[in-house]
Amino acid sequence: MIYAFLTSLEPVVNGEIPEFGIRRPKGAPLSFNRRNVVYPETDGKTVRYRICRIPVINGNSVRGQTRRRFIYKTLQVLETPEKSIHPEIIHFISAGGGTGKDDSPGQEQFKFKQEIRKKLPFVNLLGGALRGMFLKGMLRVGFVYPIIKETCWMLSNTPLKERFQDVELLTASDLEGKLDVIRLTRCKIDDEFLKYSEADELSEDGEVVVEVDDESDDDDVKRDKGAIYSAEALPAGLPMWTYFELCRNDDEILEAALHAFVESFKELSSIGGWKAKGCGHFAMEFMYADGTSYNPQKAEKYWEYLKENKNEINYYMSKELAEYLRSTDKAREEKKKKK
Amino acid sequence: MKPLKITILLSSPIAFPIKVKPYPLMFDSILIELMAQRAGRFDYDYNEYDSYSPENNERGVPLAVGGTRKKFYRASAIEVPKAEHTSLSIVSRTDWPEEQEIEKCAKWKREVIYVGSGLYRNSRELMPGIIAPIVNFYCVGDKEKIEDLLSDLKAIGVKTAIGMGRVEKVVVKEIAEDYSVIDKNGNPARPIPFDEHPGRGGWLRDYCSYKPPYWLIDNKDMCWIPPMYRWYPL
Repeated sequence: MIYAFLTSLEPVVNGEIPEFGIRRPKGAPLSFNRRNVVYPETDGKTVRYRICRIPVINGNSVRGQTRRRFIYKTLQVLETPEKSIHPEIIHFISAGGGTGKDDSPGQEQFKFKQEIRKKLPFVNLLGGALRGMFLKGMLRVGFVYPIIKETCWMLSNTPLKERFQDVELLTASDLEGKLDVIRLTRCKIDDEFLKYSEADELSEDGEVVVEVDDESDDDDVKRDKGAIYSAEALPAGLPMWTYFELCRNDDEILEAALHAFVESFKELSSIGGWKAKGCGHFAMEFMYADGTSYNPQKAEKYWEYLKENKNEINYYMSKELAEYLRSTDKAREEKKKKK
Repeated sequence: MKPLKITILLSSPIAFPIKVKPYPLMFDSILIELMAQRAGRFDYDYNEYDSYSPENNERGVPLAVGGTRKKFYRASAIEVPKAEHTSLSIVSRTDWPEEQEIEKCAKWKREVIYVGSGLYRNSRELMPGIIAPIVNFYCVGDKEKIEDLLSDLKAIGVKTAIGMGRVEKVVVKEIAEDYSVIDKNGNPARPIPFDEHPGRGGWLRDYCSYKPPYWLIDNKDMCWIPPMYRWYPL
């Protein structure tokens, strides 16, 4: 198990899907992803559990973004030949795949599952779905929680506990008050650029003549203030934490793959959205459950395994998994004929 | 084998699957999953004989078996004393074609993929869930073996790979009464096949599984089922 201690260096944006189909009012900022969390409250004799709503980043955000980077690195090490793998298999590997309407797994899906687990450690780690065959990933990624008074009880069994024992932490309501709203505004086009778009005619001297409609002062103000996007963001400097763990501890290659995944997360060093707009950059520190610091050397075994077995892995992805797709195609056609 | 109460303290919500009928978590399925994982099995083989089934129990599942014609383990469905509604938003994007190194490996039939619908669709889903600090299970079983197995339990429910149903603490204690099949209020605590109980007034019935794996259609039969407020108290 690897714990990640994160400190936001930039504001963090992670949008929420509104519940019950409620539409966001026009112009309202994209609200931050908030979830209910439970926390204990004690009066010395009894413990009561209370529930509060706080901003969190879901594990699937971290997992999905890191997955793409991890698979990118994996395919580079494998030196997979160009145009060699079926796009559905690429989709399965790099995005978790999907299942179509009439997809049903073949008779031999258990055999394929065992083979995939053995030969493709990156799929064993992350899981996915291919033509109705669901493969459970061995990796668990936790929610990214801000470290505040309401969430610090979750650190009690972790090496981060001591670090925050004597620190004055924010409460959930303090954190709500510190949420920023980031606005991206539409700029007024300068006259210099107008000649490319609104040039009506050229004068005798070759100058551009532009006719600009008269606008009132109010319109000018509206245009200057016209925000096109806005989103709530967690402030920079906020301590957060998450974890990465495996369902099984008896596989060395899988453990090395976990380290390689964490390495990819470290390289990304960002979470959430609006990265191109200066959001989501983090300082990261990793440690094991016993408090010892993370050893990146443990990932080497995974990369070495890929290098040693690259021909076999590429062959398996391009030929044998494609055979599975063909068998499900046949089954689908037979089903249609029967209908 | 003694009547036991298992209390689990959770730090994150339990999610329920969408697009399928919601069903309660069953304690015997949790134990069997943990046993199978210890044995290095993570996938169910449809073609293989099920050595964890209550009919033969060759693997030694540490639970008492009930029933005569349609046997089941004496382990209850989840009991959620108090909960609040929550949800989990899941966004999936097909963004790998933007990554040139990944995209170039694909053997394309056509160069453009459509992300609006079909296999490569982008999606936004909101999964229902409950946030409950404490959940209970009841069973009749071997306390030491169950405690040992539950030491591996890190999460319960669905979407545990992305942080749902995180287990913080598990407490197993012996109790005087057995609530594994019929609960304190006299309602079914787990699905009981019609063949094994005549039923009582007010009991609910459904066509559902009565033994693990609970998702397998072969295990389904007409059963008396626990009331929904027991496991989805909203």
